[in-house]
Amino acid sequence: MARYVMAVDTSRCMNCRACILACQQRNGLRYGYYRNWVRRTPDAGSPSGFAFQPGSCMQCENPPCVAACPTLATYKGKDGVVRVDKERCIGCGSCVSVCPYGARYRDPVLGVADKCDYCAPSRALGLEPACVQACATRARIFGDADDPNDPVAKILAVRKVTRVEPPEHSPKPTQVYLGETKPTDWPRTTALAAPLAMMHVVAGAVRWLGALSLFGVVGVFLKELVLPSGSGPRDPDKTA
Amino acid sequence: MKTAVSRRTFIKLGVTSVSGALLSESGTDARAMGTASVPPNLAPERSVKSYCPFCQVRCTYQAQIRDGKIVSLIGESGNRWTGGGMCPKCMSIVELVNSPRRITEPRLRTASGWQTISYAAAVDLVAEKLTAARAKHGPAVAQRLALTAPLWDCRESELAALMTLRLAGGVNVMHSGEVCISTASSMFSTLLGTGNSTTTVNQIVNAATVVLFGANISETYPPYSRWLDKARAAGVNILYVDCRKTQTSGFCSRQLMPLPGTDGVLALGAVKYFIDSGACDQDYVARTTTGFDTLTKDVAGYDPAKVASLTGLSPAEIEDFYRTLAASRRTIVWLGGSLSRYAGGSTTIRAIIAMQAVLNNLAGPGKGLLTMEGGKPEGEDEFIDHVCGPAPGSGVNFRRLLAAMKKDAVDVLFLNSSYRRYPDGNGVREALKSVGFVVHRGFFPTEELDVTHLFVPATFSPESQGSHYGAEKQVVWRDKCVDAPGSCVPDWQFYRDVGRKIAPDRYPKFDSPEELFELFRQTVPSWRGITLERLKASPDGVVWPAESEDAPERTGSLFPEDGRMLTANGRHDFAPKMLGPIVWSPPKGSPKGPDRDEKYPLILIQGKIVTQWQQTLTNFAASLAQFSSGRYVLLHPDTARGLGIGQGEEVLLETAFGSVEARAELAGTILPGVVFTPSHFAGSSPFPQTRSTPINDILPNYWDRVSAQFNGLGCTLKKRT
Repeated sequence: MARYVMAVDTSRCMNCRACILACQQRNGLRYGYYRNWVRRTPDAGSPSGFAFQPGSCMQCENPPCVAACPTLATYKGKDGVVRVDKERCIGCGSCVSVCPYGARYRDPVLGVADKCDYCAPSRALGLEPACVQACATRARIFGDADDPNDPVAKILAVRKVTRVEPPEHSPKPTQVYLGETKPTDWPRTTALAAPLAMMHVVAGAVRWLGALSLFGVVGVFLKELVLPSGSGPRDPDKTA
Repeated sequence: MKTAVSRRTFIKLGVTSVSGALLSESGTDARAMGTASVPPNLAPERSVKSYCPFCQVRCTYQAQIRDGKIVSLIGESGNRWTGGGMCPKCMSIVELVNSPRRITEPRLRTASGWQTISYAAAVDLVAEKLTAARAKHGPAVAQRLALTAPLWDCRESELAALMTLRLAGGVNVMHSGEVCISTASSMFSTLLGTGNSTTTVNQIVNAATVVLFGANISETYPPYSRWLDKARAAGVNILYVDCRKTQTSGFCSRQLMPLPGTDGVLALGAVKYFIDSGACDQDYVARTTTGFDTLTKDVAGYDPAKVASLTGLSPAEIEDFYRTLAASRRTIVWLGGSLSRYAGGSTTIRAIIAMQAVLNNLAGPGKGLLTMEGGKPEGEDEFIDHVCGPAPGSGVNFRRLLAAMKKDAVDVLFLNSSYRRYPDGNGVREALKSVGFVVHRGFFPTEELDVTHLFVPATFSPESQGSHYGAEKQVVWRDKCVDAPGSCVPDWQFYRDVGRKIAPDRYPKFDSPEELFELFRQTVPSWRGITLERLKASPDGVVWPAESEDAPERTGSLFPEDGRMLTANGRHDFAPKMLGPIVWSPPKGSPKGPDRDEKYPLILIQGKIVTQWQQTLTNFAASLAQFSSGRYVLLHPDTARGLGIGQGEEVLLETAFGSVEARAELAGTILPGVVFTPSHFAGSSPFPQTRSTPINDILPNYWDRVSAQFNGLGCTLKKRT
């Protein structure tokens, strides 16, 4: 299975924000809500006076959003992409609050969490992620890091990479930056707020009760297998 | 109650449950692959070829269409000029086409207010006005009709409009960019024999040095940043001349920040340096130019010390710049539109052309001049003359048209774009009110309605098919993507319908852009090889000229290998009589000039930002407004400190002609003493993030021989209380 990775070359970004608008339109997002971004930070050492740093969900190896989700709606796929099952999401906001990158938001109308999934639906049609496709300078490079012929694997093999991660308890982001990038110190580890953490406990209890119910069902299943309900003496009135 | 289940039924249920569980597990795998089926609300039903109507990059894309609406755009990866990249302006088309704010029916101004009328009635009314003007004024009607471009549509629409104006007897056409950025095109045409770039953008990777003279490519033409990126990767030394550090700076090895309006001084000093240092290519100059002695006299005073005193640059960085250019074997200069936006812009352009010429950097691979203000393939005048007969005289520029309007000497004006693109916006508005009948072809309820008698709604480009051209003289084609709402019609249809009314026997017969394109192709020899079939099959079009389908494509330097120019005598005249000597002077009203006003000590400049293109369109897109936070003025922290202005504070930007409200943005990325503000905010914007008094409302009506002045005026900032 593919292992999808995005590598970003910030020296090529000019902050035109085509990537942001392309993402919104491709994925039918509301304007004003974003799955990706370009950070603009004053930087006297940069020729333009600013450092531009494109980003989106870092598709962490140990995603805190997955751990925080009480309903298991957020999950990390075998392809490395962290996704949200919107049928399961209850919109509690736990994942939004613990993401060190602010990569998620709660859709104001649907009431569920939303985030970058590397344009999974349109990739199924053979398209590149929208942000990659729209970028005039190809600052974002995307592909299968396990395929040695893939451009992203090739560039990762020869370029130094920088990870932007919190100083403590790094979730191990898989989205990386080629060479240097600024700033690197902005993500922050955030503990789950007490009410949301309590929801996690309640959800665990509900799941435990669910398991207990399942155990009962299995019990009945085994009982019926060994001694079906209809295996006793027949009702003479119904055998005529 | 006891439930009875047979063993057979139970086994069936069991098998079903286990299968369901297995399927459920495989479902998890499927979603984990990240390739779940496309949600029904996202899958496009079809994809249609189109292009962006805004800038000269002319990005091509595939419009993704669902339920009769464009839902997204995918750039054509096969477009060699853009590589499939796009910018937010282009993508805003998705929203603009579907905007509920569009006016979709014709409106006629009456004594009791706006009255909605039918499209047919609108056409009849326009034809009546044109016919009446001709009947009243006879041949003199030529100067009493006018049309402003751009039309935001396609070449066929431009042709249809020009034919209508010509057959109505009019000659005044305000071409795209005529008022603000046409100096470069005019000087190129006069001195080199071409109104366009002298080479194509792909040549910059073959240059040793590229000079971006006021050309903020990354902000104004983002997709072309890929060429800067390619050039940088190829080891090209990219130098940038701009009083602001911008996104473009990131692609450059060095930046010079001269005072606004002094680029010409820097270029004149370069010419002197090249002559004095022996770097000048005397053989080339002797073979391909005239007037070199006069040029030598013109630049005599511009030694590095004088250049330093006028530009504010240090003598060391000036000499370093000159040494770099003198040593460069191949240099391309990319001219920014800003150079044309000062009174005296023609001097600047002449000096830069001379700078390239004396080092033999005009003709050949990796040499030449680029401008984003050209690109228009020739043949238009040839076609109009052929179809409609010769023009009954010469047209005037907007400066003279404005004077005519003020004298009630204009009967019908086709206003196809914003009048707020002209300086002295308030004066222009009042003058427009003196025009007998203003027909506005527009989209949204903008300020143009204040001066309009008849509004006829236009279509956005994806709502009709047609051809267009880009900066490399490439001709591209778009198909119709979606139906237009209400009575919106494309320009080719509106102008054709009017033309048929006023000249039924002479107006050419065509029912589609394809038919008009074919008529044009058959008429103009340089277009013969640009067939519809080729255009429709190509992701980035066909480069003009192409006399036949098998003619080799002409990209790269326009000039032949021997370096001859395209002028009548094959030479570049440094000192044509019609232009006189090259004499530099500060912009009019500049705080550094003789006519300065001490009350306005700061230099005001304006420019496009990445989310803006003209006043009537992009301000109506929420998709662009989300990246904006209203009018701002960019100034250096040292300048702000002297005025007592802090970061983010509300200020009044004042000139001698008025004031606008703005927010102060402080950064060391701009030269002290200079104030920058974006060009295209408008008062009619529905979004506060893009709403502002137009900046041109506080500019005077200053012109040089070609263009109006938009930059360099004295201004001041005051804290709002």
